[in-house]
Formats: sequence, structure tokens, C-alpha cells
Amino acid sequence: MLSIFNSVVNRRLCFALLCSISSGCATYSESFKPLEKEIIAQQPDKALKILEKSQPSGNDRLLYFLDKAMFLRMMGKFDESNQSLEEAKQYIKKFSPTSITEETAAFIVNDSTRAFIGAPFEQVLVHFYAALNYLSLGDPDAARVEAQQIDTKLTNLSQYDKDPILIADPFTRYMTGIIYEGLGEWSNALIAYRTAYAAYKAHQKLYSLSIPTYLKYDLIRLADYEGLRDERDKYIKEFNIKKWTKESDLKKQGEVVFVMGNGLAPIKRQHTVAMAAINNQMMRVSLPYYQKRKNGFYSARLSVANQEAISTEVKDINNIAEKTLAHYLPTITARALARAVAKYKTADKVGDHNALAGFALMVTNYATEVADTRSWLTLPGDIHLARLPLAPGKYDINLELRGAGNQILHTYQYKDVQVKRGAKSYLTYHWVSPFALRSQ
Amino acid sequence: MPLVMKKILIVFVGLSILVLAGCGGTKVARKDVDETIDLSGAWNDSDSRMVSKAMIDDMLDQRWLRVYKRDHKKPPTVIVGRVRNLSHEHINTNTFVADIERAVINSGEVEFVASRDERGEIRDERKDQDLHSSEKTRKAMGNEVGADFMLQGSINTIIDALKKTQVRYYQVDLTLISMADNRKVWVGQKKIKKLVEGSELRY
Repeated sequence: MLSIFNSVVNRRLCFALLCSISSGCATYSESFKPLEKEIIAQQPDKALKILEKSQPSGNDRLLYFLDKAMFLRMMGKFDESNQSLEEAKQYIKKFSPTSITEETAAFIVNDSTRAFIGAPFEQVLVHFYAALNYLSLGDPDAARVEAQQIDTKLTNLSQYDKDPILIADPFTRYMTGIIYEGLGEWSNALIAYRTAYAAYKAHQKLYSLSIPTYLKYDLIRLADYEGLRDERDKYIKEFNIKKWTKESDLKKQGEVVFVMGNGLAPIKRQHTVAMAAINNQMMRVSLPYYQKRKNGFYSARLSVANQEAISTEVKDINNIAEKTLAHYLPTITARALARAVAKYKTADKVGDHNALAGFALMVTNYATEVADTRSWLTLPGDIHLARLPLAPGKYDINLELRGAGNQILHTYQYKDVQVKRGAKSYLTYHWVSPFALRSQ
Repeated sequence: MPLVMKKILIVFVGLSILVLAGCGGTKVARKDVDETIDLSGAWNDSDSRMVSKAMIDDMLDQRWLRVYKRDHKKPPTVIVGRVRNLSHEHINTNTFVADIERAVINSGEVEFVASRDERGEIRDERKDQDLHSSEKTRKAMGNEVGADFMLQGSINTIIDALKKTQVRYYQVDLTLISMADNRKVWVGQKKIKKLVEGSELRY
């Protein structure tokens, strides 16, 4: 077809050319580097400025809303963060229907031509973070709206796919239970706790995960409060818990609910799984994979006077992201292979008529074959929870983040936290270790 | 004109039309505020207006009002308490409460006192008058009218969805409670049902 390929030297030259062209087509995850540095330096305001300067547009617009919302959260601007999350919700709703033109482009160019609407777990986390923002703003009714939306979203997702990694969202369900309990809606809370428990068990089959001890106590306490003695005794036996606080006693106190983001979510990279030269044509297939970050702390300790609560991991985003990608990988691979064949055929046909045009098309095809590495990168790698019951009053609450060897990595103090009788006060934090960029 | 030139011209005109079609800009059309415009299927101004009107008409038509007027020889004083949003949407209950207040005040059947938030500002102003206003125009403290009844309520939803099609069922409950003895003198309910059909495909 092309005389340019006739000598080995020319082939090598061509290969070098293709490599340099393809390296120019940077993937989304590579463009995230400048933001990462600011996050690690605990400078979300600077990260936001960088993001605003080079806003992802078009099909990547959702990523802008999501990252912006996370930076605003880190800056304590919960109201503005929610405005961005609302925009994210609208975007997801608008672009959820399959687009005919985008699918065609994905078949011809690559998967990044499709509008990014996030994986199911990312879509649910939009509501989760909106709920956390509302709780931080002291508006539990608005957080309840998000809890309702989480339920609607997960029910809706289950109508498309039954894989528990996509539709059983243990911690988000658990959090909705905490929201309902905070509003005194005991039966709604118990239902959410039960669903969370079932979801934790479903996820346990997929990756190493323990059911949060807090949830076990919640199930016993609320089953007891609702007068469901058989259910309560079943949990007591199952969890082997002998001492627990009754709801009536807990209501006399207040409670601090602490939700902590640990590190950064895994980042998608691309690897070229097949590169071949057939009939003097270079072709390749690139697929995404997740690279985990170093997540930093092992446990968080919340303390005030002589009382303390140790955090427990409640959501493993690292594993959920990986298993979600594994769920979709067969489809992504099939699409990439079909695309490679189609690209090869067209370049070959064009080359038969015009050698130079065929070569140009082959170079374009090769360069545009990049994996879709888009994901919500400002999410934490995992989420921790701690619940600290306290007598009503005003407290300065200390936070200590500890490493695997129990060494203190980071400290922080919440000033004047108001704890009201029978109510919950919510504290959140997101800490990214200076070593987060070193992959695991 | 040679054939090639003609072809180029056709392509150029075609492209120009495409480009111009994309440059439509923002279009604004003024609508009557009473006109119902449903875009997303979410709770909107029409729902707020229709529900508040229907419920207040019902409230003012009931026995409790006639009994109160007969016994006290004056219209009752009402305060609007909290209308809780227990739905799955972020509904601005303030506009709903404002619609209710407007409907009740305009009826002339009932007197209204300012809500908790509004009172704060007025009391501050009264304190300020105490210092700065003339004796003649100064309004004394302790002359506020206490409400006889409080109106409370909630907006609830039930969603039934199958993929992109949703049935949204809204239920608004309002209760009028006597401040003196916690008696519920009126309970109103209004329901709205909407079918929202979304598409599985887009262009």
C-alpha cells in the first residue's frame, strides 16, 4: 500500500512519529496534575482558581461541576458547593439518554467523545455530598430531600442493572438512615439501616469490607425502639453485642456525627493492550485501568475532655471504582476492538485510492485512539465515620489522624461545636496525605 | 458558472445556514403569570399557586371560622408556622407560604400576624424608634397581637418510576391548630399527580 513502509528504517521512523503524536493527545487524568498539587498543599482556593482558568467544557463539563463543588466544600462554602452539585445533577439528567451522534463518534474516534455522566457510584455521591453540605449548613430537611433522591436514584439504577456494585450503595444508604434518625423518623431510619446492612453484605462478597460497628448498634437500638423484639434479638445474637444504649437514653444527649474523606480516589490511566502492524498499517487498542493512591491515615480519633470516638472505614471508593470499571470493561473492550477494526478498514480502503490520504488517516486513527480516563478525581479514596454522643453544650473537639503504626499524622480542632439535646451535629473533613501522589 | 463553482457555492450556502442556525442566541417570551408551563415535571409556581388557592378556599369555607366569629365577634388572627418539605425535591416553601398568606389576607376573613422571622426585624425597628423617633410617631412595645391559630403543614411526594418514566404524586397537608389548647380545627389536603415521560435517546 505505502512505499514509505518498505524499508525497516522508515517503519521505525513512522513508529516514532506515531508515538510522538499520540503522546500529544493527553488523557483527561493527566490534565489533573496541577490541581492535585494544590489539594495536597491544602489549598483548595488555589486549586479552584486553576480549575476556573481551564474549565473542562463540552462533554467533560460534569467534571468541572463536581471538582468545583468539592473545592468549595473544602473551603467551607457549602452553599456555593451545592449550587455546583445542582448543576451537576441537571447535567446528568440532561445527558443520561444515549446520544446517537456521540455513540457514532465513539465508534469512529474514541470513548471520550461521549458526554461524561459519571459511573453510578459517582452519580449517587453527588447527592451524598449535597446532603453533607446541607447538614453542615444546619438544614436537615434539605438533606432529607437528598436522602429521598438517593433512594429514587438507586431504585432507578436497579431497573437497568442488577449488579450490587452499581445499585447497592451501603454507606450512602447508611447515611440516609442517620439523616432520618436525626429528624426523629425512626421507621424510615430503621428501613435505611436494614437496606444498608443488606448492601454491606452484598459488597462483602465482592471485596474485603467489614460492616461498620456503628451500624450494628443502630440496628439493635432502632429495632428495640420500634418494638421489634425478635429482630432486635436476632441482631444481638448475630453481632454478639451485649451492651448497647437505648434510644430513650441516647435522646437525652446530643451526638456528633463525623464524616471524613481519606486521600484521593483512584485515577484512571490508559494502557495499550494491543498494538499491531497489519498490511503495513499501525493500529492499537487502549483501555483504561485504575491506579490507586496512597490514602494516608489509618484511623481518625475524635476527642473532647475524657470522651473519644475512633473512626471506622465505611466506604471504600478505591474498591468500588475498580469493581465498577471491571463491570464495564467487557463492553469498553468490545467497543475498542470494533473501533480498531473499523479504523483499519477505512484507512486501508482510503489508502488503496490515495496512499498519502490513507497514511494521514492511519496517523489520525492511531493518535485519536486513547482510553476514556475521565472520573471524579476530587473524591476521597475512602470515607471514615465516627459517632460521638455528648451531653448538650458547646465543645472544642480535637481531631487526630493516625497512621498504621498509630503515629499522629495530622491534627485539627473544631471550635465551639454546638451539641443540642436529641439532635445531631455534623462535622466533615477531607485530608489528603502529602504522599497521595505516590501510587500504591 | 462552471459546475465546480456551483458545487462550491451550494456547500458554502449550506454551511452558512448550519452555522447561522447555531447562532440563535437567547430568546425571551413574556408569559402570563397564571399560565401553566411544565418543563421538567418538578414542583413549580403553578403548583404552588393552585394548591395554596384551593386549600385556603377550603379552609375559609369550613365551620371553624363561622364558630369563631360567632363566639368572639371578630375575625380570628392566624400565623403561618412551618411548612416542611418532606418531598424528594428542593421546593422553595417560602413562595408557597407567601402564596398562602396572600390568599388568606386578601380574603378579608382572617387577620394575619407576622411570622417569627419577620417579627425579629420589626422588633429591632421598634427598639430603634424608641431611641430616635419623635414621641408622636414612636410605636410602643408590648402591643403586638397574639395569634389565635397557627397554620402548619408539609409537602410530601411518592415517586413511582420505571426507567425514564415517572409518576410524581404530591400531597400537601395543612393543619390549623388553636394556640390556646392545641386543638386541630381544620385539616386540609390537596393532591397533584404528574406523569413525566423522559426519552431513552437524544440526538
